[in-house]
Amino acid sequence: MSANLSAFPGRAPRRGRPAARSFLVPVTLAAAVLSACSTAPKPVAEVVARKNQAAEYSKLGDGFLAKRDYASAQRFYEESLRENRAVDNTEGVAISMNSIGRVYLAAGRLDDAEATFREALDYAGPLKNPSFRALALANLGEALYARGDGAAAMEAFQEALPLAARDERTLAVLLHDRAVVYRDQGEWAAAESDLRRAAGINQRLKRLAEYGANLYLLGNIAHKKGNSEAALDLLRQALEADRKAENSAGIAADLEALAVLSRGLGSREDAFHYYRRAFDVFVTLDSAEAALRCAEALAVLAAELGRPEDVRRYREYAARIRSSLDARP
Amino acid sequence: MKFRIKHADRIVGLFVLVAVGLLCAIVILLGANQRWFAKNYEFKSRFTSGTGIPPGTPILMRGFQIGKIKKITLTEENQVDVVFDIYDTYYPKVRQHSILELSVSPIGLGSQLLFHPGKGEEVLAEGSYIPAADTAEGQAVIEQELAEIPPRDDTVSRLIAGLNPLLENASRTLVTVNRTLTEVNRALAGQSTGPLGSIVGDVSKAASELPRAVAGASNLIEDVEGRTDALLTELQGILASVNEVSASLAKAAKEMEDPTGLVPKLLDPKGSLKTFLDDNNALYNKVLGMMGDVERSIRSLREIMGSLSSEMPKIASLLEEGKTTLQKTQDVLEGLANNPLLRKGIPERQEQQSLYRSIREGDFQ
Repeated sequence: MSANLSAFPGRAPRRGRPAARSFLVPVTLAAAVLSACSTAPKPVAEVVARKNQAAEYSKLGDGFLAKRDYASAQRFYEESLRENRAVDNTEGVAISMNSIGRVYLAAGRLDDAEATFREALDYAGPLKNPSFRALALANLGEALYARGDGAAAMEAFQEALPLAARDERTLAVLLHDRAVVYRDQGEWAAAESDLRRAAGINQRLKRLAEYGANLYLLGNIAHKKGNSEAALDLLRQALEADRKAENSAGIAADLEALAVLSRGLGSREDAFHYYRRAFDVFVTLDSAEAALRCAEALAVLAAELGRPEDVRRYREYAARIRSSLDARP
Repeated sequence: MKFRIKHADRIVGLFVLVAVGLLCAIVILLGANQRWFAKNYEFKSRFTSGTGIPPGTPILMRGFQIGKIKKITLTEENQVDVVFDIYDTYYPKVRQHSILELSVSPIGLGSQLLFHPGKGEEVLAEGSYIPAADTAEGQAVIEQELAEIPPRDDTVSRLIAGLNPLLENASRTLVTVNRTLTEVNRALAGQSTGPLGSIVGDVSKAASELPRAVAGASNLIEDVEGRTDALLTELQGILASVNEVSASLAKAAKEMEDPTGLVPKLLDPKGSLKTFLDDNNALYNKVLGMMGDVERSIRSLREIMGSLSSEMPKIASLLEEGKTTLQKTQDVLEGLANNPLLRKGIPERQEQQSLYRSIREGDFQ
């Protein structure tokens, strides 16, 4: 067109127009590309939505389990299981069943826990990822250990370990649990080796609550070996890790262990402070038996330290907790 | 919900480039429009006065702007030297014997600076002198018809010529109005055969039929009077029946007053009702209380219903708004889900996390 215009007699060619066109072309192309992208195909929303819902329920269940609200935790895990079953999400089903089993385990319903873990193991069997099977075996081993069958527990842990080779989180749990059995068998070196390996993994993965559990057990072994100072140091580290992770149950256990050790070492003042903090945490966790244990110890320690007011107070607390425990069905 | 844009840096870069490109294009287009890049050819002229030719005055040729005044200067001889530009497009028109003419409207409609191209073959060189039409040189060119001067456009004559059709139209309208009035007069006189004449004829016919309609109405009234008499006779019969019924009722009432009748039996101190009711107003008070309760309940129910009905539009509107909001939200979310530029806005697939817990136990006793 510009050629025609410039050929017109008496009309000089305009230099602005070709320049403008050279800018307009990329602009038009960019606009076309950007607008064309809005019809990109979507993923299958329904299945993802239900899986996400299951994950949400599971997360809520984890929160309640951490607070020892077992009824709520179980309810949410069961909802999660239902959602996973609705979309045939077998991995999710295995995870939900493991979680439900852990609620039973925490609540002391060992038969239910074992049955649930075995079912989870069945679901995990055909799955490509062996770590689901490894985790189910780890949980099953813990349930067997809780029943007092250390040998069966060890068998489960040994079977699970090769399956967890590529899943460090499960591997760390298995190493810790196997260390517990080794400790009971008096195999300190093997137990410590497993625990140090597990602690290394958990520290690297920033799984602080689990790292705290590793240190707690290492402290326990150190205590059993007669090295109370090392045990105290390890327990303090465990407490630090649990506090960072805001793991209340772990904090309470660490504090109580520190109190017992301090008392054994003759540091009554330290023991009193540790017991008092442990008592506070156990009360918030609604853990009546542990709180009663702490209150009784505090009353004795207060008497030894010459604190009559604290003696009266903690005896009163202990009496109230005992009466509430007696009133339980 | 926090949104993040995919390839944000690249997109920003692209937009910046596009913006810079557009700015350059606009500048170039504006410049081209303002003839920044076009060549102008400069010429000179001389006028007796600078009135009507300030710098920037457009130079016209047959309605087209072919150039503009660049500069005017008053010389020592009290003449006005003019420097003007002719656009490159029209430069070939500047031939030998071209002249400039300042055309001033006789009725004060402004002035125009006109360029009349010469009839010579040679195109004048840049910087040449082009005489004004009112100078001797210019007059000579005009007289010898060496320039192409278009016929004069006399504005006043044109205006006057434009008046003639208007006057003709007005005259035609007056004739039409006159004719219409004549037609109306003829219609009223009964001489017209058109629609107006027939209307006037119809009115006259209607007036002649009026007495006959009045006679019909009289007959109708007489008929109604006759029927009313018959109705009154029937009404008297009905009244007689009503009297008979009243007499029967009076007789029944008298029978009820009989001491051996049903009511006295019921109200007898040994009768059922008397026994039932002789409780020192306890039952009555209870019934009264119950009635009060019922009344209160009905009242509160009525209030509830009233407030509910007054709230119903609000509730309905709230429900409707909620529904609309949900639909809009759904649309927005779908739009966002379809947009590949956004990430983390639409919840992606969440992985359900397993519980990794190890045994934490051990006594320190």
